[in-house]
Formats: sequence, structure tokens, C-alpha cells
Amino acid sequence: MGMRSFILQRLIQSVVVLLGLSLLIFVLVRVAPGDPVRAALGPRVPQDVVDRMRAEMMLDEPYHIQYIHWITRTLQGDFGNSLMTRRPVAEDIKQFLPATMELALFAGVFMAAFGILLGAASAYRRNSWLDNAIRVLAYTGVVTPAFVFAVLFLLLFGYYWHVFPTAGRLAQDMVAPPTITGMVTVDSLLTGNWRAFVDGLKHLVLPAVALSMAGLSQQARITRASLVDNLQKDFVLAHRTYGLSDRSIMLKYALKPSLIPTVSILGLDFAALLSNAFLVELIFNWPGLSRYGVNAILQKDVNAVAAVVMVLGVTFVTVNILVDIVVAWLDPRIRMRIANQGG
Amino acid sequence: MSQPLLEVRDLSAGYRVYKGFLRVLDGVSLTVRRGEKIGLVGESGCGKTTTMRAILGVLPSNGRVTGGQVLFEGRDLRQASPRELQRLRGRKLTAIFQNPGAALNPVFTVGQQLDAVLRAHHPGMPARERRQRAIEALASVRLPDPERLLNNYPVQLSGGMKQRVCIALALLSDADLIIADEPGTALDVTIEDQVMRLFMRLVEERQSATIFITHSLGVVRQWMDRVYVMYAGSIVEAAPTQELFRNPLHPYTQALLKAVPKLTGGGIPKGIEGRVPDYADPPAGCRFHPRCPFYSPDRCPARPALVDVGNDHLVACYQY
Repeated sequence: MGMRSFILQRLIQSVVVLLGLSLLIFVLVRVAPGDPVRAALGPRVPQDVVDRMRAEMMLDEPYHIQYIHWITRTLQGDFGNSLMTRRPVAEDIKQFLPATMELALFAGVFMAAFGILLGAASAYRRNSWLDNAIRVLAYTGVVTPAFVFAVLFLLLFGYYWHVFPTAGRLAQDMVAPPTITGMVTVDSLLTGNWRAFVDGLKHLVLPAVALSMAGLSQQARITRASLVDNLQKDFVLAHRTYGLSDRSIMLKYALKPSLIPTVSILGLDFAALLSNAFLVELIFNWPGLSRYGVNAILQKDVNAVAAVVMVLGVTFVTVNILVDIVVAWLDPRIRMRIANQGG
Repeated sequence: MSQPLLEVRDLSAGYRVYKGFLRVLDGVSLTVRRGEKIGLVGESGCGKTTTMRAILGVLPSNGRVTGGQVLFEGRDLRQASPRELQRLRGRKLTAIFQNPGAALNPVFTVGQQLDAVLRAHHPGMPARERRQRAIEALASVRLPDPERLLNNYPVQLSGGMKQRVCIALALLSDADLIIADEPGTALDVTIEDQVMRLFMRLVEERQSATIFITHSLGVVRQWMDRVYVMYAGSIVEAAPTQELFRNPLHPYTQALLKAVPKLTGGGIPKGIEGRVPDYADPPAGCRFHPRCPFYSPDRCPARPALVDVGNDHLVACYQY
């Protein structure tokens, strides 16, 4: 089996996972107590209006009919209307998803880059003060929730020192770049708007870094452990004996095998980023999808909740397929296993 | 034959561990002349591998050389800068390791690993020439289809093939000294024999010197010019191979030779009572004394020095 059919197989598995997820979330939002329509319209609206709306949303039909109807429309990109915003949910997602993606992508890149950097520095300066400092910080990072960092950063860099802005995606007086991807920094770069880019980046720093701390610490710890382990292996001794420079061993020959476990958990850490994004978005007034999703849950906005869950599910599945591909690229043993599976 | 290729003088080294400092090497001295084949024997844990790593300057991070000299072509490698050492390693001095499965990097192809060594030593060599050299190196260790092998990962090779690749890596440049650390032990006996023959032929072709670390006295007797016997971090006896097997002098060597089971019968030999000492707190004086049948406190007051008893035969024991 080649790489192409491996990816195809993973795609098919993902479709199965997403179908399962869709069933689960469909049932969950419907069996939860309370009438969503009544909740949305309020207690004063007459019963016949509520009944009309229930019929419109097909909430009176049997579940299987409702599900088939919902999944067909969802596959066409139509998530129905939101009870909360009274707009098509697809519109809402188009508006809020890019902000969360911008935050998560920036946090993800920061997490991987600095996690690996700190882990490697720690391993190469093993048992030095630097190593000890990084280990204490990483341990703290793993056990501290993202919102604590968010509040801490908000106070330190926003309130006491005014280094970074603490709310929203752009300064009030800044003209937003035209929407291309919906991500402020990317759009301003594409249109060559430097001022907006820098301002967008400044707004991004605090929430993204706060969000990435847990994953970053995790990555640093795993990279350190795996590098320390590999540096004691015979092949590193052999590289040294055959005259390779310490530099090339550190940056290439010992680092590459050590990144396999790091990258493997990157997918999980990214999922954690998406779920932790809610509190960070709330604290930094970041108009993202996680905040939208939590509000939808509180309001029993059935269509919105289901849509948010499906969108995050697709993101998660995509990231994990990418991670699998990178791990297979790093580790020939996994490629061999894929090749030997046949079919 | 004035200057020896390698002269190790009174080398001491050890490891820093939780319970203190392990003084593993306690004054190792050995001499290797150009083209000479040296066997270094001793039981597991006696410091053979530490000797090898100390000579090459590649002790693990908690290891430290505490005294003595490593003179290579008259130069003390302990005084050389890390950069100079790095240039010598792989070019003039090289090594082959015990476990070929662990000595190859699992995530780089055979070709990439050979190429890395060539690039380190020949910065100006064009890629095509490096590839040619890599193919020749694989062909020289009798590996079939070397061109295809360049793209293989270690995981795709058998144990014997991996060991041949390791030999190819070590012999990329015509090193003057090859230290081989029990290169056959991880292989089954028939493959071990093939690899051994191949290795010795290559060593002889290149007129390289070798220090062959092993606990197989058979291998030593068949191939080596001279034998050093090591016990608990020092050399206890050294002699030309024939001389040592004919006339072992040190009580440890005598016990070692008796411990070899014979195909001609006589049952399983007794082995040697006791075990290798604790390096954190080694016995004072002669490190063999707790296991020695000839030991008496008045006769053995301190650590015996290596003395020449004639016939190029050195022994460290108060009996002589």
C-alpha cells in the first residue's frame, strides 16, 4: 500500500468518524431538556407562533426523518437558521470561524516552534541551570489552565505595562482589510496593508500565547525526554566516532528521530487548543467560533451547536491526517508498516 | 618501527553517577604498532568499552578521563581541541560497535548516513563522487546491489547486512586504527564468522591496525597478533598471542583460559569465583585480590605494576 492509498484510507476513516459525530451531536441537542423554540422566542410569544416555528424547523417530525433532512442539508453547506442570531448558521460560521482559526493556527505554530526549541535547548544543556529553568517552567505550563495565563498576560502586558492591546482583533481607528480569508493578519498581508498587519499581529500575541502555553510545555517536555533518550543511543556515538560535527548531530541526526513523539501528540494538542479557545476568546473579547458555540449551547440553539461541533470535528480530523502524514515522513519504520499492510 | 601508532599510558577514567564517581579505568596502558592486530579480552564490565570510548574521546556526558595520556602518532589526544579530535575521528581513528541494529540511525537511509561522513571529511567533494564512494564502500563489504541499498533504511536490512553497513561506514576512509567492540556478538554464529573474516581481510588489505575487543578467546587465538587481558579497569597481562596461550602468567588469565569449555570433553569448567568489583568502592591495591588464590597481605602490598618478564610478555602480579 502506497502513501496515496494510506491517505485515502485515513480519509474514509475520517468520514466514518464524522458521521458518528454528526449522529451523536444530532441526538444530544434534541434529547436535552427544554424546548429550544420556546427558549429562543421567550415566554410571552403565543403558542401558535411557537408551533409554527417548530413545524418550520421540522422539530415535530420523527428523529430519523429530521436527521436525514439535516445531514443532507449540512452536506450542502446549509446548517439551517440560528435561533439566536436569526441568520443562517453558515453565515455566522463564515464570520466567526476565521477568527478562531487565526488564533489557533498562530498558537499552534508558536506552540510547536517554541516547544521544540525549548525542549531541544533543555536536552542539549542537560542538568544545567537553563535545563532546570525550562523544566520548571514547562511543568508549570502543563498544570496551569489557559485562562490563568490569559488573565495573567492581560494584567501584566495590557494593564501594568501597556505593551500589547488586550481586546478585539484590530485597533478602533484601524480600517479592517477586505475579507479574503477572514483572518486579519493574512488579509492585510495579501493586500499589502502593513499597518493593519502589525496591529493585527499585536492583537493576536497575548491570546495566542496564552492559549499555546499548555501545549508548548507538553511539547517541550516530550522533545526533551526523547532527545535525551536518543543522545544516549549507539547511533549518536557512531555519528560522533565517524567524525560528524556536534552541530550537525544536534540539529539533524539526533533531532529528526526525536521529533517523532513530539509531532505525534501535536494533533491532540491542537484539539486542546480549540477547546481551550473559548475562555481565551472570552477574556480577550475575541470574536471567535468557540465563544459563539458556547453561547449557542447556553441558548439551546440546536442548529448552531450542531454546526459548530461539525466544523470543529472536520478541523480536528484534518489536522490529525496532516500529523499522520508528517509522522510517516519522519519515521521510515511507519512508512514500511504502511507499505507492508497490502491492499 | 620507532614510534608506535597508539600509546595509551596509565589512562584513568570513570563515570559520575548517583552514588558517586565510578573509577572504572585504573591506569590502562597499551601500545599498538602500525598494522598490528590487538585483542583486548576480559569479562563483561571490566572496562573494555570505556577504554575504547576514552581513546576516541567519545565518553558519554557523565564520563570523564581523570588521568594518563592517549598518544596517537606521538600526539596526546587529550590535549587536542574538540575540533581537531572531530577531524581525526572517522579519518585516522574509527570504530565498529557491538550492536549493528543500534549503531545505525533509524530515520536516515544507508546512503544518507554514508554521505554525511563523506561530507564531514571531504567538504569540497562533489555529490556524484560521494555517491560513487558510498557505492564502492558498500561493494567492498560484499553487499549485493549497493546502488539500491543506498535508498534503504536500516529497518529493511538483516542483522548481518547492518553489520556490513557499519563496517563500510567505519572504513570509508582508510583509517590507521580501527577499534572494534565485539562486532559479532549480536549476530548468530555463522554470520558472525562471515563478518569476522570479511573484517579481518579488509583490515589486512588496508594495513590498518586494530584493537579487537572481545570475550571470545577463540577469535583472539585465530586472528590476533597480540593480546591484552583486562581485569576491573586495568591491564593485567599482555603478550604475543602464542606466548599468552602457551604460558599464561596472571592468575586471572589462567582462570580465564580454564573457563573455556572444550569440545573434547571434560565437562563444563568451573568458571571464576566472585565477580567484577564495585567501581564506586574498588578493592585497594590489586583489584583482583579478593578473587585471587595466591593473594597474601605481605606479598601484595599495593597495586602491582606491569613488568616485562621476557619474550615481550608483560604481567602485573607480585608472583613475578
